[in-house]
Amino acid sequence: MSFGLARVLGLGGVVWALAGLAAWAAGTTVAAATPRPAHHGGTLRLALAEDPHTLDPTLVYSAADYMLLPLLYQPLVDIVEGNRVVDNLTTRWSFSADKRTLTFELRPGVRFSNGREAVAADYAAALERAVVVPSAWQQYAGEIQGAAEFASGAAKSLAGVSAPEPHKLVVALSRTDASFPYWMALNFGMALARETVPDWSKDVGGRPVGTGPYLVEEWVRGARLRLGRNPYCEQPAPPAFDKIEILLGVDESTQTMMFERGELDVASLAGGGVSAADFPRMRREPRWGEGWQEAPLFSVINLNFNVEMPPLDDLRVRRAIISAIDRRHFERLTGERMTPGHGLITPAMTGYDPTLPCPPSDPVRARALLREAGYPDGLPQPLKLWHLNTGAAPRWAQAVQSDLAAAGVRVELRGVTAAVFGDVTTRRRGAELALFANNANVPDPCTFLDPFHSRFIADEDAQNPCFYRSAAVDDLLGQASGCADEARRVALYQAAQRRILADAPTLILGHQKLFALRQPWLRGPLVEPIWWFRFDRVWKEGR
Amino acid sequence: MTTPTETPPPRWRRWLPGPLARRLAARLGWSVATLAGTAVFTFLLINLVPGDVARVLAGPKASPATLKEIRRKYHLEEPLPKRLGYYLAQVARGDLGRSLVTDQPVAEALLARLPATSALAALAVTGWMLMAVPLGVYTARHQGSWFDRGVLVAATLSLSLPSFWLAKMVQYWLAYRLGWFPVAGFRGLASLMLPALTLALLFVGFYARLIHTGMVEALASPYVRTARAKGVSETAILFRHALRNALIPVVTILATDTAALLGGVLFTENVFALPGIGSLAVQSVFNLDVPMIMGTVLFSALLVISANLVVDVLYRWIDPRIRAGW
Repeated sequence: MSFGLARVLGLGGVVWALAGLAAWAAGTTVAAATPRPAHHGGTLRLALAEDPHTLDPTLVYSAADYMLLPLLYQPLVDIVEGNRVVDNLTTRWSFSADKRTLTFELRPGVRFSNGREAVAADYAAALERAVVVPSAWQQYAGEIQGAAEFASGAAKSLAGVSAPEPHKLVVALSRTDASFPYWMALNFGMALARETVPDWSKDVGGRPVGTGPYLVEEWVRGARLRLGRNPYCEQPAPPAFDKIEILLGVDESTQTMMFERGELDVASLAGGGVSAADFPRMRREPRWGEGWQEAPLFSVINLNFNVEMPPLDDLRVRRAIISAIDRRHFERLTGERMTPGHGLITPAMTGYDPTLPCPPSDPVRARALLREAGYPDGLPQPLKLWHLNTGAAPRWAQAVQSDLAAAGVRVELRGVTAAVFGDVTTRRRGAELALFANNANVPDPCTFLDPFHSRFIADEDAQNPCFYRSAAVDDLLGQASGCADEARRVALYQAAQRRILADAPTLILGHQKLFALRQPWLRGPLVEPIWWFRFDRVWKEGR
Repeated sequence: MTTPTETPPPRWRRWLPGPLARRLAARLGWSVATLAGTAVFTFLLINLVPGDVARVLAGPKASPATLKEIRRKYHLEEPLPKRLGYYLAQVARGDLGRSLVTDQPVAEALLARLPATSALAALAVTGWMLMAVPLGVYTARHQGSWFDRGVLVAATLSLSLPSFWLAKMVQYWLAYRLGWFPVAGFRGLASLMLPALTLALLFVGFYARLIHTGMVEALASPYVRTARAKGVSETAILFRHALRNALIPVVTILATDTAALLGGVLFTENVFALPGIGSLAVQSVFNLDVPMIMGTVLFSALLVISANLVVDVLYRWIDPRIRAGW
């Protein structure tokens, strides 16, 4: 992340410094480690390729949904550089030594956009709803004590969540889970005003009432989303803009054109930041030099082998494919936006292991391995490679195809929509090869490693991406997930990672970096690995 | 001399519809059958596409239990005929359902998108007709001239252009490079100019040639020769006599094309980020949002079928020769 000193200083930085000083004087922990802008006014103009699915914090899941959440809600705690969890809307938070109980002391005076003060009961209700409503995060909320009983209706309240005082929230987990505080820095730590959610099963993302600096003024689906100031938001900082206008349904290259014409303040909000076709040109143009910001993402691009399907059930064939693929090929294809991959734990994550080997491609070794496996003339049948038909995935798939052709492995490409991809790759014997771009929500090694546990193998809806089974890995992952000692937990995950990579069920192609291009008048730290874009932390200078 | 007195028809026969009403009823019946057929065919086709809408709804990280719950809620695990039955019964009640992704009522989403699509269609049709009529008339009047041949070449080109390419070119040159129009979005009339121009350029060649052919035929007709012999002015011959007849086939095609445009212009709306029915259809397909896909297809089919019906009826009045066929 390029959180340069120049960006940190300035009025926003001063306000933040004063807030920090006041917090210190009051004898509390420091609130947030990132600068907060003061009110500068004006309108922030953005565009998205498609509508957010929802702005309901319980139901969101796509990147477009996620990046807008901090505008409408503020989490109780925040994740800062070094993957530390720090106070945000709390004056203090703590995690018990056995990593099973979290306690949050809320700041008084935090208000929803309807003017009511946010209290611990609101956050408790948000967690209860996360346990009950089917969503991408329901399984993670299931870690809370009594979740199963509450979700099934056997219990009238969620045993693990309590609000003993108006400004105190206690969350008890059913087992040791060192990664849970990260979830409280994401949507689990965001609350809607309870009175605005009469029916928990209903999506309230259309006009949510949260504690964030902005509120939804107008959302014309497919056309525009307009956010206005939340007049009650003062903590940790008031909103910097009067309005945020988001044009919806604008493709990546059109967003770039609009940006260059001065019609948008940020070039593109897609995964790559700027359209692939325009990226090299715009990186070279001196006029945009100061406008670039970058951040590593918790992202793994990998080629998964279904180890139950011949010939990929043979370790030598998998290793041959790994030897044949040139990982630098992908770096060249994406410019600076991908770094070659070593392991499943990304460079920005806790537990990153830079000692893992990342050997260059070796087609001669690949052919030798194939010969050894009984395929002297290469594989007799083409392998089917499934990939998404959007974004950079088709180009990456073509690169895999061309690299493997040199080693005598023919590949047929199957570019499909997300609905089809999700269906095929989670079905037993559904996809031989699949190209995945995984983005973690929490910077914890469990995100990418836990799915390799054999308990996630199933005939349908399998979460184990390679149908990979190893008793040793199961044991290591089991120990790691129940470990309260952070150093030991990370070491266990690293050991599991080494073991998995040795069995070669997957090839790590690289880790994505986010590049954002903003107009010269936009100030403040715009990009970061968790939310990708922090529009609540930027402001317009001189406007 | 006495004439035999005609026996008046029995009283009950007066209640029977006349031939026109019977034809109209038959046409309506066929229209409803076509619409129902479209609904069944589209529903089956969408469901033949492999894919799991539950994953679209809950995201790739949803647990098997969550996915199962979603499938149960939306009857996704029930047999196809049963789901088709649910859907047809719902449509018969006048309910197009709700989007699986946004939970918005499908009818409401279509109505919200209709203004952008209608405005674009109206502007595009006006634009291409304003260009096509003078071109068709002029080239017919000067058949074989260099201008006529030039228009023929241009028309062939315009017919062959891929719409997304033309839309991108128009956007790049007129909006991005020259800055004469907004690049994208729907913020008033100015935002519609480029998409309308794209559509107009795509259609003008075809209509110019259609009018040209009709005009050439009309100008060679005996009634035009008679008019000329009577000393009627050339302008009156062209516009009052020949053009009126040349426009008869144009009316049919124009009505169908307009209806098709109102059903959504997939590429043009997407390139210019217009919140119309076409962009809604594309997004729904990507999300495998079955009720929304069905809604956009049925809406489009309804428009085309209605346009055909209206043209069929209007033709009776436009061209008396056609009455015999009714």
